[in-house]
Amino acid sequence: MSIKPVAGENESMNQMLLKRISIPNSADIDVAMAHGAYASVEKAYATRPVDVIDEMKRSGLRGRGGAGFPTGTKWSFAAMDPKMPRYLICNADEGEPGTFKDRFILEQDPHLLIEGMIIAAYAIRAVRGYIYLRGEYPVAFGILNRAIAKAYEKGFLGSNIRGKGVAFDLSVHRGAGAYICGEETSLIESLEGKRGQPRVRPPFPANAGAWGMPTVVNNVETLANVPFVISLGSEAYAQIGSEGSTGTKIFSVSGAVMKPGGYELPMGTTLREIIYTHAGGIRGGRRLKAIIPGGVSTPMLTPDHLDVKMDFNSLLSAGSMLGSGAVIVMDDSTCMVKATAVIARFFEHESCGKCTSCREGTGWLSRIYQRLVAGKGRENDIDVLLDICKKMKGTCFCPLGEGALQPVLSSIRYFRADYERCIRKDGCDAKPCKG
Amino acid sequence: MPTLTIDNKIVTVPSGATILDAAIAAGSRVPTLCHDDKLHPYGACRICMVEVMGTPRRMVASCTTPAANNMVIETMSPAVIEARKAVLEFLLINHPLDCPVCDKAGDCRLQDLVHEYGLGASKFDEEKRQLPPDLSSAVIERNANRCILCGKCVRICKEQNAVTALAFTRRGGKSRISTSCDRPLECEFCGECVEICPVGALSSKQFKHKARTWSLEETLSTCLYCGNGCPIKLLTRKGRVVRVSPARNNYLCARGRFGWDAVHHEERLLVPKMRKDGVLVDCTWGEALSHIAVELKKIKEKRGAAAIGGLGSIRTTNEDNYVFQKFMRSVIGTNNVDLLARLKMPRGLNTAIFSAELASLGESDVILVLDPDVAEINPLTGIEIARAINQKGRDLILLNSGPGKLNRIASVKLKAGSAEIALSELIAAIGGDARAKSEGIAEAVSLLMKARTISIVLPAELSPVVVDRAQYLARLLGQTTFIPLIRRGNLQGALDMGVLPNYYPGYREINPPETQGMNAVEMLRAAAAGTLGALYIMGDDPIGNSPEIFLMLKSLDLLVVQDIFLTATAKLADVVLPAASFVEKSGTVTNLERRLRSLAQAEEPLGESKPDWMILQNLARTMGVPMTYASAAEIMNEIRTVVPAYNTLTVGACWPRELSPALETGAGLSLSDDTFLKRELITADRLLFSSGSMISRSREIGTLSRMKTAERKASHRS
Repeated sequence: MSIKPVAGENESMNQMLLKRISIPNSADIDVAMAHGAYASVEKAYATRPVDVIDEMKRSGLRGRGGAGFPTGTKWSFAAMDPKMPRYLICNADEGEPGTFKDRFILEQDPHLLIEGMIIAAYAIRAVRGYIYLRGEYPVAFGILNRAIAKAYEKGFLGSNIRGKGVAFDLSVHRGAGAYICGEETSLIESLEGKRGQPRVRPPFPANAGAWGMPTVVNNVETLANVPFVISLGSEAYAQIGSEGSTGTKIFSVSGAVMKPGGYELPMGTTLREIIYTHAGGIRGGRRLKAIIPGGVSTPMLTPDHLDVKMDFNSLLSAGSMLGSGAVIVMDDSTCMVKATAVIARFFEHESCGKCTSCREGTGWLSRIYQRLVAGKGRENDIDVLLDICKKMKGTCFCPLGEGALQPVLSSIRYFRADYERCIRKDGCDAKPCKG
Repeated sequence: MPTLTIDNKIVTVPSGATILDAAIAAGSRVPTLCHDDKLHPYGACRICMVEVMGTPRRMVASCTTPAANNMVIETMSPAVIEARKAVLEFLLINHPLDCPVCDKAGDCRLQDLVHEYGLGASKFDEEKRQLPPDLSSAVIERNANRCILCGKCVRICKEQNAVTALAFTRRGGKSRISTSCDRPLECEFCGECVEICPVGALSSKQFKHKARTWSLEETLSTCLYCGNGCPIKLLTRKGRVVRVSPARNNYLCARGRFGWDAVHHEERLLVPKMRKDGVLVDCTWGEALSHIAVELKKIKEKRGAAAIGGLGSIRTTNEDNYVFQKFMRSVIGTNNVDLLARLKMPRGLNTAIFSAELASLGESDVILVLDPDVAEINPLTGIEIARAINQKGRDLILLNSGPGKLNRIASVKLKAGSAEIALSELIAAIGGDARAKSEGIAEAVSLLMKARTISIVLPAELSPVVVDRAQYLARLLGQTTFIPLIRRGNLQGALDMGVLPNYYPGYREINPPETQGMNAVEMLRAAAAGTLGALYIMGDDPIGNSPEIFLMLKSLDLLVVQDIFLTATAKLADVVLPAASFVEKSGTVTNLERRLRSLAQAEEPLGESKPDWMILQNLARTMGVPMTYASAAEIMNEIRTVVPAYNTLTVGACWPRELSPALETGAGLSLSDDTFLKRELITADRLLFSSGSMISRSREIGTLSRMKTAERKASHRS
């Protein structure tokens, strides 16, 4: 059984990606097509692949998976490599804790994703595509398979799409429950049937990805934006959002808010607007204590940061990252040591174990946190935690290890008092530690 | 060709080179744990971090980061030192500090680095991981606690050996290196994983607690178990071999690495033996040699030198074989000298088709393997094939692939009944004949036609038809080299030395033909018929391989056997002479590539045993013929003057085949056209873990062999 996330109501005119999901049976191809699905395919096919890539570059669309790499540029790298066949992979391994944005699209508007993939495949001249789906999304698996079958029936997939002589085959590959497989090279390894571990880069997937061939890996939300870039035109699309971050973003808001859910808002919307205007403010009349703005691998922020704009550049300036746009809100009943302990255990569990720094570092961090929350804190624990972070910084193989440091460093930076109380066993101002 | 600055030195490196390559070129020392030139870059251990200067400065793993133009790299900046110390501290979190009882101590990369970077007390104050060791394998111990998860064993097992017995299991801090479903290790037991392990996680049971690594002395020598003749290091403590390792940048199989223990077997012959009153009893060298001298003279006077024959050995050195044939020819005065091993030589095999060095496998676009057992017969050839496929992306076409390891990496599996059929069908298909074809022929042809260079690994059982067709196919394809499979040690060298009834050393034909001697088969038959009076066997055991030969040899007037064990043949002998084993003597051998390899003495001969050539020399002296070689090197000097191919041949080089005109004329060197005992002699060494009088006395290989046999029986039952 799965708990269906709620897409928050949003009257904004800019709602694009989640527009169709409020329509009953939106996953049905006829319903979706009656509301505009696949309309952009023919528009894209009327231009050359290179034009589609240029359009994408001009739109300013950046990857929604976390790193924010310019999508058009990524496509052009693969398109420049002469090797064939090329592959297009949709990264639907939505695993960043707190993130549930892709799930709306996967479960309620799969045709938007397929439409985006058809255009992306055309742009990079890929004839084979895969949706690498998070193993824990069983409902989406069925829905996607049905949607793909229907898209084949309607001639949007196959060897001669809509009679235009373009070929693109698409299928779903289920992951097996590893966070690391959201990292694109690990995802490719896993897709190839190997152990999910990141690959040495270079070569980058654009040149040697799946089975050594040029490969583009894009996030679900990124691909879902593609039809809108085509249908609106890059110029109109680029009007949405803020400087350096065009378009809208689905923010997955969770935690101590009145109305948790997915909110599609223009890039650059402030945290305050997201939390107080859309998500209904803090639950139970409590005070806001901490915000994780982009999933657990992004540094925590405090109420002082409420006016920070949620876009790539503004969050970097504020010392954090947009990440996947998963806003986790914590109120003053939260012990930050305990919260961070949960996150530390997650990273220990999900470290793939390949590189020394991440494997041993996340394990060591977690062991200290588990001891802290068990009430066995030691005087020098904060120093040791900071020291471990210093040692891990810059020495990990892939971003997972680097991500694991952020909650530790930021929670110590902003909530050192929680740690000190925890170690002194004074009890927190939040809740008494049960450890 | 990027030019960059490393530690203030400017270097230019080939494009594609990593920062690590550049650092080595610049003379900087960057430590590594997971990196090995033999393997694909992996980048996991993070000890090779260096600092790329610029704004901002960044730390990169030098083993996986390509060197780029104008980079400025520091390999020993304070930040780099800090990063390396951090990695070491992380590695020591779970690594037990059991160095006092670890066989790797002194030779351990982790120990050395911790020592070098002066790591003091760690801030780590939590519980260490505790995993049980796996002691269930016959020769390899796995201690997961010591493992630093560098993955070298996993990669060498897969990339080089194509066995894939080891893999990472579980995840994160729980990661370990284990086997399928954590079952006991089940593999070829080549021990390459033990060799490459930078710490003591994988260790040799044979060497366990035998010696501290720093007390070992090293002698470079050569393994004689098969025709590959791999260079080895004999590691000795107090003048006794305790361990064998491959010499630098070489590889070893289970036989080469673990099978040497036979030389210390309790059944080694220590003193000469003579038959007295029908029983073999110990005697002195003087007694034994005088007896042989008297008897040989007697037979020669009474029945002529042609009534005496000699069988040389492919288990001994070139020098031993050279002196052997010289003894037979100049002291006894007969050309009745031959190698029984020629019976096992592939039928129709002519040394003329030897044309390639193994390294050429890696340079060929396509490798056509006509014998699926290649990796068991010549393990190094198997390794070179696997490396060509896994590391250089070559294509493998494999005939009749069974469950063998190469099956997994073959691009095309040819389902043809035999090499003969496969070759015929390939030739027909290339000629445009599209009729009835075995599975895989079309794919194979398309690969072969695209390839610029091709290697063909010939089957060990080689018929003249196969040779002809292989050569025809080669002419069709162009740029083809042949790789032969040779089961036994020094076959090539013994042939080169003229242990042949119809050739002198260096393939000088004996003329007129009437003066040529009896070949091995003729000698055995003559012995049975009573026309051969005496047979001198050096380092061979015909009865052990084929018990029927007992009946043929029992009517001899004199049977002399020179060996390291009291073999089945030696038990029938009138005089048994104890020979020194390969670790107890110096000399040279010539491998299947025609490459000269050298043996160096690492131990004193056991008991009263002596090198084969020395025994023959002493016998010659006893018979009144002066022979005055002071050393194997002196014999080699003589060989160089007699065998043109060895004239300027240096150790490690292959002799050019053009130097032996006899080979070009296609002189047949095989005896196996004769149906004599072919079946028995061939089946004796089918398998990697069983063959010959020496390997069968290796305790380690014996354990493996029993294990494999049990497995085979179990799989037959199921």
